[in-house]
Amino acid sequence: MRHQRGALRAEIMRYVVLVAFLGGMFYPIVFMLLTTGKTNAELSINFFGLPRDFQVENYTRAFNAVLPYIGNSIKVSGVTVIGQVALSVLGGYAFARFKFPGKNILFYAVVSLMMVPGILTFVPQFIIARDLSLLGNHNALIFPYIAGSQVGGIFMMRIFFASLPEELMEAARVDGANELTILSRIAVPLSIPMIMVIAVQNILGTWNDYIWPLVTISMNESARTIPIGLAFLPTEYAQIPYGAVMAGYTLSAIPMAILFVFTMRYFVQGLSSGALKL
Amino acid sequence: MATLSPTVHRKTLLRRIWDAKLVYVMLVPTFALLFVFAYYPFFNALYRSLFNWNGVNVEEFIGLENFSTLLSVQVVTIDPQIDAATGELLRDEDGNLVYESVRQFMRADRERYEGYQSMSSFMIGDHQIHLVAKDPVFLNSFVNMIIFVVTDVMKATLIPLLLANMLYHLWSERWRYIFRILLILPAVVPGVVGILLWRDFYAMPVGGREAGLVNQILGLIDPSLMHTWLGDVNTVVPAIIFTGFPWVNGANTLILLAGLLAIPGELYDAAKMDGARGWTIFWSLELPLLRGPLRLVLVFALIGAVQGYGHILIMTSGGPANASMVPGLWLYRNAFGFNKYGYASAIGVILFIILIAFTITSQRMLRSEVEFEA
Amino acid sequence: MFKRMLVLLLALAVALPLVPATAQEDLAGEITFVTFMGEWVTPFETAAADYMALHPGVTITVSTVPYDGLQDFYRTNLVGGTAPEIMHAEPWWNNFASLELIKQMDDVFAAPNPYNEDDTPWGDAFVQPFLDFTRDPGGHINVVPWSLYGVGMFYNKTFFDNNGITAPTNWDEFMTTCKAIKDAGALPMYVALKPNDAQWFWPLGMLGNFAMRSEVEAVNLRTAEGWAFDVEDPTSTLGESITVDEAWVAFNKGIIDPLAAPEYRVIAEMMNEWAENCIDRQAALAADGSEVYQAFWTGQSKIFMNGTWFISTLVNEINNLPEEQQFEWNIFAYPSPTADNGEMFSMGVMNQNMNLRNGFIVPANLDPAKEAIAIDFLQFMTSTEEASKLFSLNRVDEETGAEYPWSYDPPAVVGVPMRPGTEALYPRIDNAEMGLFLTNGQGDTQGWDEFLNFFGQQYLGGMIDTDAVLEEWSFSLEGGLQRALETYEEDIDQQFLDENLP
Repeated sequence: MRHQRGALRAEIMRYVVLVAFLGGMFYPIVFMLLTTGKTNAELSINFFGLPRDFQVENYTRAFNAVLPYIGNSIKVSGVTVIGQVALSVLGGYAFARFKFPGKNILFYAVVSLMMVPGILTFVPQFIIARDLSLLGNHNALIFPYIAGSQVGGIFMMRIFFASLPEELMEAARVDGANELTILSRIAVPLSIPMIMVIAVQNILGTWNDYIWPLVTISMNESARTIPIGLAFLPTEYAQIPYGAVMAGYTLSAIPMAILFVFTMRYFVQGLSSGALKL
Repeated sequence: MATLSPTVHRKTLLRRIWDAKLVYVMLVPTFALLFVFAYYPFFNALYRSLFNWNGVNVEEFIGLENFSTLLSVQVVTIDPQIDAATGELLRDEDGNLVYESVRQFMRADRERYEGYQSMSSFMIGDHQIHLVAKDPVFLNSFVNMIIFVVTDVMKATLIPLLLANMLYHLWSERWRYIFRILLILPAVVPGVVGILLWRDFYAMPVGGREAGLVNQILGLIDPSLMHTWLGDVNTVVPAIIFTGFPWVNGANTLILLAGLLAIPGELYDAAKMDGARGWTIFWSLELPLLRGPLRLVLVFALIGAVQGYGHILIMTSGGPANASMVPGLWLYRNAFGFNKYGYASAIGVILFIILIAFTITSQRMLRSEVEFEA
Repeated sequence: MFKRMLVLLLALAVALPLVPATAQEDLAGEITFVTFMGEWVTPFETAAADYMALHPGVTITVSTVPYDGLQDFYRTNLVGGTAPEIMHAEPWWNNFASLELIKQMDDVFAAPNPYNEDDTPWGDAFVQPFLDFTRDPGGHINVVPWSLYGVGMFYNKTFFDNNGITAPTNWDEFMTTCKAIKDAGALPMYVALKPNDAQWFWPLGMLGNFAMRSEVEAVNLRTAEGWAFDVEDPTSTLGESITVDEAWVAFNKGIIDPLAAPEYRVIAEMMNEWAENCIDRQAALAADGSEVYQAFWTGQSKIFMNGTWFISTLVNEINNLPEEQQFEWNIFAYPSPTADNGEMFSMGVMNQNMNLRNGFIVPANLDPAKEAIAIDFLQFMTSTEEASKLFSLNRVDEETGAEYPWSYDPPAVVGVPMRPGTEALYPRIDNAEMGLFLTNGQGDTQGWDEFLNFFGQQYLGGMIDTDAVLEEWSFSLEGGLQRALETYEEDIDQQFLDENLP
């Protein structure tokens, strides 16, 4: 018998706990989907319930506001995440595994950037983007995004690389592997779950970012990202069309949901395919 | 070929720098970007804290005055008033002792109390004790911040730790995979949706309005439990803490899961050979090896709790009566609302010092045991 | 007409060499015009097209910008020098003015508008006294006005009729009405005591300025010899405003010090009475300004204080409700106190809340060629002829072919007709008064934030009593005026201060 009865009970408990907690995560999605079917008037009298007369129109409005900008969002978030992950892995590994003059100073020079609130750096950063003639095009987003998000990424990867069991690296080193080989063959594959976390958080952040792109690129219609496109949904008499906005959020979430489902599969396989013999 | 660190001190500094050239090359792109985009705004923010600066055209060096305004506190003791004629304690119609208001008391000694306002008060015997501060909103917000730091750190670590552990030990590879997707999927909904929803969950049934979910549930137990949670200075902070229940943080769960997945299987086998089971494995094997990822989660939760204010802005705008104010929101108000960028920068510097001090201490304990010279 | 032909001829002359040039014909270049109000896009595009036909060398791009994040967008781009040349804005523009980020209009308003046929100053083309109301504490105008608003008390007529309640005509009746609504088991007014619901701070200004009328002459001292305040003549205050040094003198004399001035106590107690009778204090502390609209049209509250802009929304939303929830509505004027409520209410009747709703701002330190185009275009837009055209444009319902106005906004330009049927809402001022009832230091946003807290939330929310709120108020106002004195330092008359401070 592979599992004892106590172990089976523990396994059942795990499902109960997981289902209970994860179930509790889904009400914002459910609410968002319900709202997409409502007019403002219905929302005001029937906030939580099912829509009485599903407003397909909300989706057509949102579709027009989201569709033209999906390409922009994919480009901005895609380039950003590639740049951020690359720099985070390199920087994190450098700080985690090597001893070199100035290491601590350089490390704190990086992580201290996380500790100053963004409101204070907002306007100076805008001035820099202006002086580099980035306003109105995607570079105004991509470069500051990579510059900013690599900081957290380096911090995370450093801690993660440092926590990897030393024996693995040492074995490789004895076999004559150089540091870059160790990084690409051992450290990175072992860290894919962590890299995924960084990447997912980064994509979520850039995909939904609003105020920076509003201020830097929104006047160039062809450069707008999805949240900006949604904000430019025509509003008259100062009434926010909640149904259409929620439909927009829904449409905007679909590419990300697809991405997560597919990459998650890859990352699970990568781990279980025996690339590493642990 | 790398050598172990004890040999380091035998080489000259230049030699060591030259030996480490590969590491510096690895860091070049990072610092190139940071020099262009991050350091000027960063030092600007720190430096402006020494100025009376409105963000545009008024700029006056004032040294540490912003900091002294933020942190000035005094204690005021007010004694009950005495009837000049009889020499006895004055009493009002209800028989209560009569006190001069703290503001009048302070006006009488302008030199000493210029710019001070009441922050909180309590009684010791017949004496009224007031804490007065130049910026009572900031100091109160600081107290709130400490509360939110403690609760946010607990929310960010305990439940993700539980879930990551459950997930890691699931027998079914397939379900592990499904749960993992389910963990991250809700994150595609913009955070503002969940916050708006919670604001409605706390609604009271006023004027025929439907009660929010929280009050509906409480009403089922006992109608007297229903309450305007966000409208009462005594319940607004707990209500904000409760927001987002059951506080599943998908990203943190995945970080901890990543830490578990990196634990070599041999260690588990060895532990099992020693007869360890369930909780013992968790305490003696998993928790120690999760130290890195846990600190990571902790630092990020801390930064979020110290700087964050978006959810409070939407739920209460820091009210009622500033009862749910946090330093991040007060900083935002001072900068964008009151054009007091210098003062806002000083708040930012205080938050910065707290965060960096914490990070340095946590980092001390974090170095990997063995480091190699490049 | 002649003038316009002349302009056309001059425009043609640009092509001819050696013809002496005037300012207008030189205009060439591109500017951007942004608005946050979707309903105005078509009229503004029409204006741009008309203007470009007149000035072929000019390109004006009309663009929208979302309301969410609008002030951050304007502010950041103004600081960065990258702001659009013309920005549609609301009265928060004076916050930018205090930072010297936007152009002062005083000089251009003093000169004639070339697109009008007479030679009166351009500034005279805007409805008074609302133009004077826009003056910052230094006395400057920083905006080209566009539309006005009036505020009234919308009420649920069906509910009133069913319960035998009639619309109140004075303050005491208003309190009785609220009690009657409560007795009928309903909530009179759903109010949020946050900065994003004006239902509690609009009345303060109306009541307060009414009460302070008798003090105006004692405060407005920095003015030409022989000036007199005539409550019956609203034009007697034209060109006048309470400057910050005058306010500081008045505060120190106790005229506007909440601890010393009897008017402040009376107003505070009236508002407290209103909170007791008409709102649910606890719910108001938790509520958000975005919820108060729907509370009225869903029947949750029976009275709602709001502006002319709400009419289109209200009609629309009520029609979308299930039939059994629909109701008839009407509007009553905000009930005025009478001499019974205090002798300070004996000079005339209370003015209703009517003011400038929005206008256009131009960045300071713009490239002179672009600034010339921006000003010229605004002169063109606000000429009687073009503004009349823009305010009369209609939208067409695609299904029914019926036409509706793009906007019911009352125009801020003199001589532009209102929409037929809405003349009754045209903002008017019955009696002269000046903004003497100060809640915070003039233009001081920190003092405003404090006021929202101690008066709105703590006092109306039922946490502190009248003595305490007046004390807070006095302290906060003093600090705010001191800050305003610093902000507007260069506009201050030091000699005046030296002579008049007690």
